Amino acid sequence: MASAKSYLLFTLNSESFGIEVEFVLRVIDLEGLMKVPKAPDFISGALNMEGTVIPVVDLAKKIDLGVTEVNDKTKVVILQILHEDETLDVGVLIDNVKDVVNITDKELQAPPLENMGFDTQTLDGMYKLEENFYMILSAKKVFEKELMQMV
Amino acid sequence: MDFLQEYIEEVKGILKDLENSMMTLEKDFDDPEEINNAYRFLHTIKGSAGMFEFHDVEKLAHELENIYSDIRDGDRQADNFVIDLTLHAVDILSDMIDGKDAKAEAEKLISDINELRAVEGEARASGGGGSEGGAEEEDGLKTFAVIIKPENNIFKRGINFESILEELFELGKTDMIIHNESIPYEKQLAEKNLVSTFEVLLATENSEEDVSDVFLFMQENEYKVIPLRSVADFSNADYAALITIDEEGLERRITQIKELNPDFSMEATVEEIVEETAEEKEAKANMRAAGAAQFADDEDTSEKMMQRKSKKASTVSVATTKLDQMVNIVSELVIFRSEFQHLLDGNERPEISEALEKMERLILRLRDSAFNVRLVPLNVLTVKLQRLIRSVSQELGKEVDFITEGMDTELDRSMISALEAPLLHLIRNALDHGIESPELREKRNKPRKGLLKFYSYNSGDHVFIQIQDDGNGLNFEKIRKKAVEKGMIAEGQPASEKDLINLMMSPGFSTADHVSKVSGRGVGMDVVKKDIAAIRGDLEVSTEEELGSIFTIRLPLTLTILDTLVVNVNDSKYLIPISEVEFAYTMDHAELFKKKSRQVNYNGQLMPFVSLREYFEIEEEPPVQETVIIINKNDTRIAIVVDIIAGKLQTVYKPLNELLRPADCFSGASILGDGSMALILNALKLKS
Repeated sequence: MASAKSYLLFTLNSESFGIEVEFVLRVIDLEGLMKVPKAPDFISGALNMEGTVIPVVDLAKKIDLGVTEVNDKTKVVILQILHEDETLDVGVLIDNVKDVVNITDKELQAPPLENMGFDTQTLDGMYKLEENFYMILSAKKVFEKELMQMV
Repeated sequence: MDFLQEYIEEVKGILKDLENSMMTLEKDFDDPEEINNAYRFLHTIKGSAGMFEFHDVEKLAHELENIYSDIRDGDRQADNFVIDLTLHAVDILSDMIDGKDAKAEAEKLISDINELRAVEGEARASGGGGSEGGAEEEDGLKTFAVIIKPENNIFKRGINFESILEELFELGKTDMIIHNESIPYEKQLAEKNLVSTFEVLLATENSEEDVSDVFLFMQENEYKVIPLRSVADFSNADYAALITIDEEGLERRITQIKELNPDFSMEATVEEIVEETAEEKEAKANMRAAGAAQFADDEDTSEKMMQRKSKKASTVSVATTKLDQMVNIVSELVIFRSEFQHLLDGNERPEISEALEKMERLILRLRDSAFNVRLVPLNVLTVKLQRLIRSVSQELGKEVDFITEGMDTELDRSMISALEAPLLHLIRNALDHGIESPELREKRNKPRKGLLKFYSYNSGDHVFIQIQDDGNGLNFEKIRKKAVEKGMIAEGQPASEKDLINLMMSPGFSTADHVSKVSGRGVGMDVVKKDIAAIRGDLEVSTEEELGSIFTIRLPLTLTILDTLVVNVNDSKYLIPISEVEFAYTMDHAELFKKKSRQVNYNGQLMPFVSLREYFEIEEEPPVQETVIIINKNDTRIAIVVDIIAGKLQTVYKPLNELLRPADCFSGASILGDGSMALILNALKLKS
């Protein structure tokens, strides 16, 4: 059996996505978002998580999938991305959490190359569960530019 | 603060690291990083041991360091024997640090090391204390009476009297007699009002100068160090001027002195004491024991005696992660309290509001203490710096004035401890390579005494520490030559001054032509830079040949308390550091925007202003009356317009991470009392 990794499956703008659990610190309700004027367009604001300022990113905007409609049910996935010796804490807006599943390397299909209505360069692969295709996002690829600037 | 205790903890940590290095090295004898690490650990132990008078530790670490220096230079290969030797040394060092007597073992090991190295001459030089190993006088103790009469304003001058005494006690064996104790000593301390005169009898291996060094920060009329060579010294003029001793008092002092220093002679001078035989030693040990017993019986009501052991401040070292966690939990608690209040809104009973208020006060106190635990003013390092400068400048025959400024700048505790080694290193370098000898200075038309400035200040979201000397400045020709020699650049390869500075801070570079105790060898600027980078700081150098150099360390503020002005702009709150606010006044919106030129008249000067509403692209209608705030940061002024000032707040700075950095008009954020967040304005960035 090939090595399996855990993935968090979620929906965003009626698309289905997954992200490796290793990067996920927690999932919280969107509350107390502070506006940050002059921040890049894809930044929705920042929130306070136990005394740390966490920037909140409109994931849909970040991957060119449109704009996240914020409502009462909007959740924030707090990611902690390790890069070289630095860590980047960031929250991303999602619509809803679906499940957490184990996916083996074998089960992970190559990401679609054609235009899917968003930036497919941010994907690690694709996973089919029942009739749904989940686009597996790579946290590092989504924030590649920001991580590069950190070093 | 108890430096000795801290030092002991630190060395223990380093010894653990050294052990770990050995474990890794065992797997790959050629691992250059571990060899480098081992070398560095030993170097650090050696350096600080000297400062705390652990001469045996210093000696052993030095000898061992030589081995790793050889390995690093390729003159020797690491093998199991070296590792065994090192591990054995770790055990001995940790015993010695714990105060156990391991001198014999240490000497045995040192001779093993020398055998291993078998370099001619070397063995003899270091075996006998050596030129570098911190020569120590073998002949016995010297005895002093130290009389301290602090002036009333001693606390106002920022002097920690307790730590001075502590330092004095650590020089050797002591007894203290407090005179004029009309108010108990503890109470005097608590009320910051010292009325007593303190007489300390001291038996030490240190010189009179070392003893006087303890009082660096006190005025000369506040203390007197009197060498005691015979009983007659108790009644000499110096003594008599401060304390009169009756016959009974004299006898008691003699007993005490004898207990501290069995060699103390009633008549003979110290010089006349000849080498003692083993029998005499034994006899003296017996006497010591007898003296101690006698001392226990000797109680006096008018003069209270204190023994140094009881004065040890109890401190606990706590992992900073635990402190972080505590601060965060406290912040959450503040938030939760306001949530709770919110839940109760409307149906509150008076006794509940009362209880809530009580809770709030407690939470705020808890928050303040939690924050304060982490912050330490830089001046905890002053003594160390000052002592280093004294000893190093003496050793090098250089004269130097040391000036400090802004030592009350507070930094996160973890930063202070991380900064210590690089700061000491920079200062050592400034004295060794920067400041010239008095003769050369005269030739250069400079005052004989060099000037070493150490200052620190907050600026925006950073703390700056600068070390400035008026010495040689960097010699780029020399750096270049060295870099070529070390094969870091090719012979004719062009390199800018900036390139050369970078080379100077690379591993394996050191311009010291000779091995000196002062600047060490090889452990150079690269380590300093690495240490500073580890706390997310950076190091810059500006230099002018023959005029001097400035080393600037820039550190992020991370956890620093800020006093801020809370301002409202539309529905959001922003914070402005109060230190940057020069003036504020209200003005009608219409009046303010009447003229196209967009300027305010401040003190008869026209200044352009930035309206935050406009800057943040807020579309809602502005209020009728707005507030103009004149900001002055490092003498650059800017006027900003906000809706209203909502209040003042002491708050904790939280950094913004990479994703928010493009919004550079903010230097950070803070959590407000109600748990919501506000951004801290970096006003100067609003200018464009």
